[in-house]
Amino acid sequence: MMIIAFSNFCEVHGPSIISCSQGFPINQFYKLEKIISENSNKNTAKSSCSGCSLIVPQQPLPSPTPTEKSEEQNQTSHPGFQQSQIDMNINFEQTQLNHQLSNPNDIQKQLDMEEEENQSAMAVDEDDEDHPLQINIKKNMDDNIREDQLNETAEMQKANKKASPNKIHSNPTINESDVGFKGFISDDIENNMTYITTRYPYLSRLYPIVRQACVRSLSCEFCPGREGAIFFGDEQNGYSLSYIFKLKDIQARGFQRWYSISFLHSDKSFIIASWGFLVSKFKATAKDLQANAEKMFEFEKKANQEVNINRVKVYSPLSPEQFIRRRGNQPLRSLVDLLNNPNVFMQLHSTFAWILRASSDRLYEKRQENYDMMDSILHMKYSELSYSNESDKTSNENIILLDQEGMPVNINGTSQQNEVNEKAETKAETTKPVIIENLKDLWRIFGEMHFKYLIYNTAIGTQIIIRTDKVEIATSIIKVLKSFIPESCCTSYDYLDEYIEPWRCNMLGIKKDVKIPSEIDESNYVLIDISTEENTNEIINIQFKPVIDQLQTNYPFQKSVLIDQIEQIVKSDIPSKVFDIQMFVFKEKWLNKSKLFFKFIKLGKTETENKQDSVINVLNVNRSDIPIMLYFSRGLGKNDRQILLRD
Amino acid sequence: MDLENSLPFEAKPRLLLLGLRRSGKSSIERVVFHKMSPNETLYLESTSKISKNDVISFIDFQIWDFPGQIDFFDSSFDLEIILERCGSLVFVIDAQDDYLDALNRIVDTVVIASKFNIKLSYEVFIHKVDGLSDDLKIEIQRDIHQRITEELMHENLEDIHMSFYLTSIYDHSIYEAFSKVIQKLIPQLPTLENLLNILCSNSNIEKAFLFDVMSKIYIATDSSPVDIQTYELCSDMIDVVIDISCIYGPKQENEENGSENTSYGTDTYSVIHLANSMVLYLREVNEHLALVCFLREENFEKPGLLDYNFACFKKAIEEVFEVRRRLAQGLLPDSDDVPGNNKLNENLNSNNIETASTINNSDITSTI
Repeated sequence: MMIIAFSNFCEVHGPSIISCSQGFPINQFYKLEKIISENSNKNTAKSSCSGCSLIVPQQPLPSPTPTEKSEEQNQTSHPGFQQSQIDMNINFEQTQLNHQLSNPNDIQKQLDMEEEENQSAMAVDEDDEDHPLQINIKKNMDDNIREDQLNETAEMQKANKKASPNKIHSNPTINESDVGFKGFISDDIENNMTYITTRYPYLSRLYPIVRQACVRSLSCEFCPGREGAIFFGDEQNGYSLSYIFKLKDIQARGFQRWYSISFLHSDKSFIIASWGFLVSKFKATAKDLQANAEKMFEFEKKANQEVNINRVKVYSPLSPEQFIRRRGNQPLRSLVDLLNNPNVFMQLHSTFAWILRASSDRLYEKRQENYDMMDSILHMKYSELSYSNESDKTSNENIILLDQEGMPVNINGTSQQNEVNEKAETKAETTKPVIIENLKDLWRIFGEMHFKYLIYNTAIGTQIIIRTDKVEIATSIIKVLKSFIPESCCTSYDYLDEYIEPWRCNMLGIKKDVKIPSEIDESNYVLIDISTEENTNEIINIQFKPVIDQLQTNYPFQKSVLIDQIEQIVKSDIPSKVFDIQMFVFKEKWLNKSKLFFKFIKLGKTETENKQDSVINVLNVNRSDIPIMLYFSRGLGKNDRQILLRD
Repeated sequence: MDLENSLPFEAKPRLLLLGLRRSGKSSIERVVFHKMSPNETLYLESTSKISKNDVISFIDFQIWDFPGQIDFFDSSFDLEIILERCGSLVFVIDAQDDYLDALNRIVDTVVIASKFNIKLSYEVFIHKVDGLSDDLKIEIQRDIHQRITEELMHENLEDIHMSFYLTSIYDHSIYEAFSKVIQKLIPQLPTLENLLNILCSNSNIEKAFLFDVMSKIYIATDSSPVDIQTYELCSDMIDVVIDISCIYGPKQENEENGSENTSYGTDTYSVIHLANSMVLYLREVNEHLALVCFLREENFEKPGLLDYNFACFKKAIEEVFEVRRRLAQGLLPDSDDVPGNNKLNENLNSNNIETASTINNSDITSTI
């Protein structure tokens, strides 16, 4: 949650929040609004203090269609605004000046391209003030984002006065004004966001956080040079970048008052990365306010002196005694009076909305390229684990040629998995059908050597053929085997009555009487013959083809790191839920390894053996794992490959 | 000679200035420790942060000036850190304002603070009394005293002792009040008072103050009652001496050393004869301290005697702080602190002052 809070050190209340600007997705906001308007009665009991309150102009500005028409309306039907418009003009000059002054510095400090963009957008915008005609031309040249930023900055300075075909409409709403809930709203229709500025954060749970940032910025943290930016925060309350500055006020003690603009965000690195951008913008805003305040200060001082001569005391207290005795809880003037600018809060709102908007543009989400590769069954299983025990109908859909009969028993989801361990023990005694639910069961059934052999061959993509009478056994074994390899790289047929060639599928369940064509080389498949008793599903005999020698030790799978790791997981005595999560993590880990390896192969242009060795070292794998990683990387989608190679 | 500079890690006692906004906390701090003119305090801006000021003097301490708007004793601030090593809480009440809120705040604060630190001393400055008539001052002090005591009784804290002072930055009352507050932070106070008593009785001095030159706070005086006029005279004398030596004193060569009170040298010595046949006598003790005595002219016939007694006194004071210095350096075990200190002083004092008094007697006899 991004918040920009504007606060001051109130003479009466100490540090207090004046306004909080936040952005919401539009639809979410209007939902929220309902809730809040219902609850708003209770948190409006705050005392009103002109020094630290957000002042919304009494006259509502025209509704969210500010086109040229509305400008006319402004000038004709609301004569009150002409006055403010004049004031605004003075301020515009000031703003312009300041931005021009601050821009060169900023450009020097620019750290990244984005900032430059923002700056130029801002700079462009300043030109617009002088040459309104150019707006359209420039807009056409600019891309959408630029245009929008431009609109918004224009917005920020024009504050609804100079209407242009804006996409963001600022309409200060006197929402529920009778209960004291006031603020400004801008809708950014293009991005479907709405920016609102209210006295207190829109969501009351954020209040303590904002409050703390306000107190800390004004009353705790010291900024070297007293004015400037400071950064503080913690994990719990989020982080805050605060810009502290003072405004001249002839009525204040010491003739100055302290203000701070805080940018709150939960992500520390984001704030730090945006430091240059935020500070330059806050500085510009502060300078603008200061210049206006200085002007007012000089003016009032002069007036004061004149008044002094006439011995009429109007402005600040003149005698020490009067100064001291001006007590009671008499607050200082609000910012509106201090700057003699009735629209100052609206301008601030536009500025903050623009900064929020620009900040969120700086945040871009990078799509995780491996999402497609994430095994959907496991993924779902994972989410099931964390949310509910829904039966995995959805996962069944992924199995082609599903035999419905045996399935409910076999793949009965996670609800039964709690008892897997117990089951494993009791299974031999009871005549329950053999259910293979996870790798542990496979390990138990096949024994260490065959298990590793099977797993390794699965992981490098050799065709696995399960020949058995029982459809349940075939489907469940295939399901388990598929669980640890990327889904997109394997094709499986659960139970067929004909053989399918290795290039068409990796895993195959076939009936007992199906023969493997002799032209298929033995090295291309692993055939497992499983014979069961007729009535029960109990496994009597398992035969592997090609046969492996139990005593031989130089099979590649015996060196594979992946196999070792699986062995460790399988051997560990952990609850099945934890086991599932661990397998999920395990798969992700290997996916990442294979992606890295894939990238190395593709971009390294088959580097020297040494290089390959070092990559293998870095990945913490063994040479025997190379075929595994190659096979895994086959599961990468076309887009994923491109993204991988492009980065 | 550098008694105090050699106290590196000794915990600085802390003095917290609390009170509602505009009660004059920052003004007090500025006037007393930064020599700000009282009239200028009008233009102080309101304090927004705790401002911490190190006072480097014969004892180093810290003054924390709190913003009145924030209640630092609510739960969101770390009280342990604030109250740790804190010597005294000074509450400043604006006597010209409605002070009921301030009293509530004081009681609340005392209730909380007493849980964290039982050794705290509580001081109440009834401030800005310069505009009030004497009767009103007394009335206000009585009222405040009574209300606070009642409230504390209510909270079962009747054994907490609070001291009340009527203060104003426009006269010397603030210095006097601060003197008494600071004196509570000085562990050697009884010894120093004792030394001053011996000195006074042996040299026929009416009143003697040991002043901190920079702040014009007196850190010790003899046990005779303090007359505010005498105190003002002595305090003003320091100003006079410093002003004159600024103008006519020798040019300081050690400017690069950055010593602040350059006009106050190691051998500063001044005697002022007043029209009412009284004499003010000032001698430098060390770079922070000065002895200012007030005595009758007829007792000042033998300045040499006074000088001699002063030399003994100065030596004794050095011994007192020597113990402290060595303690800070870890040369003396902790347990030897107070008794060793006292014993040492007793020995020295009795010897030296005895000789002083014998000389005194013999001198007197010889003159007779």
